[in-house]
Amino acid sequence: MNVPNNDLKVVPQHLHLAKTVIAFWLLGWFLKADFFIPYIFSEVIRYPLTIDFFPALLRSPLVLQFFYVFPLFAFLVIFKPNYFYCCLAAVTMVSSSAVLLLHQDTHNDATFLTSFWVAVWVLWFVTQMHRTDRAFLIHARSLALCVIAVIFFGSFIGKLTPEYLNGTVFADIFMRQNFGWVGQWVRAHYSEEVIRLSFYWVSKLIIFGEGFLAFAPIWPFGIVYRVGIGVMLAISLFTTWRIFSVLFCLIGLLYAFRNLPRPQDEEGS
Amino acid sequence: MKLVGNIMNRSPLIESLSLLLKHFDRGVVLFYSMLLAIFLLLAGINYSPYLQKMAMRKFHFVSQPFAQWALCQFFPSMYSFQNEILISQYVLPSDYQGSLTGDSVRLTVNHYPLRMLYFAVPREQIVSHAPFYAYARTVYRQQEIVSSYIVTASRQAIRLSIVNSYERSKQ
Repeated sequence: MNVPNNDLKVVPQHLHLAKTVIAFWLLGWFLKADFFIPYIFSEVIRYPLTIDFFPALLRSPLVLQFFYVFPLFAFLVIFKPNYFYCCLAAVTMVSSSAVLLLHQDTHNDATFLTSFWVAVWVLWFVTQMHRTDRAFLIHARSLALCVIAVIFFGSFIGKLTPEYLNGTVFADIFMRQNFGWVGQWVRAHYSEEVIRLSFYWVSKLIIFGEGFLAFAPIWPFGIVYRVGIGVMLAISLFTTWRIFSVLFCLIGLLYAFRNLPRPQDEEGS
Repeated sequence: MKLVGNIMNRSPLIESLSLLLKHFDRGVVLFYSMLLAIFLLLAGINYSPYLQKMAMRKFHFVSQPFAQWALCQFFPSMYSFQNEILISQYVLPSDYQGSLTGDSVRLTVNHYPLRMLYFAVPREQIVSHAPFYAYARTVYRQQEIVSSYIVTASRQAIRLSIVNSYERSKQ
C-alpha cells in the first residue's frame, strides 16, 4: 500500500538516483556543444533556412537558442540536489527536448528524441520521489527499461527488411560515410568486397542486439545492464563517439539502477 | 522451461506488473499505457501500409497537417527504413536510378535524407552551389516515397521548396 509522505521529504536514495540520470542526460545533451553552439548561434543566423512546411515559431533561431541552453538550469541539481531543483530540471529537460525535436533546424538529431523520452521518465520520477514504498523503485526501474525498449524497438522494426538483413544498407552506409576509428581501420585494411561480405553477418548481430534491447524489461536486469551498455559501446565504435549524445541518457537509466537489490536479497539481510 | 521460469522470476516488468495487480498506481499505469501504445504502433509498421507511409512521410515533409508530422517525431525511428538522397544541378526524373554526371551525388543515409542539405554539411557550401535539385527516396518493404525539391539561395538565405512527391507500392 502506498504511504503518502505529506511533508514531501525526499528519500536520499531517490534523490541520488534522479541526480545520476539527470547528470548523464546533461552529458549527452551538451556532448555535441562544439557542433551545436556554432550551428545554433552562428550558422542558422548567417545562413537562415526556410522550409515552408514548418510554422514560423519552429523556424525561429531565438526559440532554438533559448531551448538549447534552457537545460543549463538542470545543473543546479548536480550542485544542490533537492526536490525543487529536480522538478525544475525535469521541466526544462522535457520542454527543451520537445521543442528541439520539432524545430526546423534540429528535428533530425536523434539526441533530442532519446532525451525527450528519458526526460519524461525523469518528470514522472521526480513527482513521485517522496514515496517511501519499495514498489516505487521497482516500477521506476521497469519503466526505465520500457523507455529503452521502445527506443530500440523502433530501430529494430525498421530493420526487418531483406536489405537490412542481408547487410546491403549497412554496407552502403559504412562504405560511403565517415565513421569512428574502428570503421576507418577496417576500411583501410580490407577490400570493399570483404567488408560487404562481413556485413552480411554484422548486420544480423546488430539487429539481434537491438532486438534484445527492444525487449529489455523482460530480461533480468543484470543481463540487460551488461549487454545494453556493451551494445551501446559497440555502436559507438563503429559510428562515432558523438553517438553518445544519443546514448548517454539511456546509459544513465541503466547505470542509476545497477545497485537496486532484488527482493530476495533484502529478505535475507 | 526452468530457464524461462527463472527469467520470468527476475524480469523487472513482471515484478512491476505483479505489484500493480496488488496495488493500483494510476501514474504508473498511464505511463505504461503510453509506452504500450507506441510499442503497438511501431509493431504495426511491420504490417500496415498506412502506418508505413505515415512514418516514411515524416522524412519528406509531406505529412498533412503539420500536427501529424509533429506527433510522428516522438515515435522512435532511428536508422529505420532505407533512405537515399540524390543531389543534382540538373532536373532529373524523380525516380532516376541511372548513372550520375558532373556534380551530382547519390547517398544512402540512415534517416532524414534532407538533413544532408542543411545540417550535415556547412550551409556555406549549399549557398555556393545553389540553385540545385534534390531528390529524396525512402523505401520500406513494398512502400516507396520519392520527393523532389529545389534548393535556392538569395544572398545567404536558403530556401528548400518541395516540387513534387509521390508514393507507390512496389509489386
